[in-house]
Amino acid sequence: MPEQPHDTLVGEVRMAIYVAIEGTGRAPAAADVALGHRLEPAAVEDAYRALDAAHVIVLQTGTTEIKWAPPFSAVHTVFRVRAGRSSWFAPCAWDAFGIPAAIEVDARIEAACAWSHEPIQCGVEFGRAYGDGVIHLLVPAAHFWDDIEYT
Amino acid sequence: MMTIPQAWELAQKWYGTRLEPDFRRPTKEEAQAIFERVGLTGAFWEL
Repeated sequence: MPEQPHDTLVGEVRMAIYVAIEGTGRAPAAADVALGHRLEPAAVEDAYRALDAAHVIVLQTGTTEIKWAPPFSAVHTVFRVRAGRSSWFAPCAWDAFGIPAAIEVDARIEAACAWSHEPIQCGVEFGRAYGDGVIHLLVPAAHFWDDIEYT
Repeated sequence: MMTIPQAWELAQKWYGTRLEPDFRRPTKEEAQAIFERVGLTGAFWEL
């Protein structure tokens, strides 16, 4: 198997992750990306860790399992984004709008208020955002990545 | 805090290229400029 420059490999792995999660709503395991792209499994795992270190994706602590590939979440959250017959989870409200932005579609967002747990309906229709309410962030921007899961 | 229209505008600028092969994360300066263009200013939004 030919060797690949690291950056090219990491880029290929990143695209494989995003194509998979966009298409299925599920993040691929490193072994599946390796098999599907005829890459060395260890090199794909290294690429996963490099993407995590670069804050492109977020891995489950101590593993190469993807928790988030922002704006997508590989795990269940309160932010569900629906477009046609497809749906995805997003890590947060900002990312919930990030999904229709990234895949260039209108979408309905189902969420819940963090305080009252009241359902919130918002989204994008004909390219314009709709919905009531505000998005309240607790962590200042300079510290988003101090603990991104808390943020 | 941001309004829903701001969140959409921010999301488009932040994630609009995420699925493109040549995507790269914005630099600190680029990120700051995105925040400012969306009207997200002040100490909370300083990087």
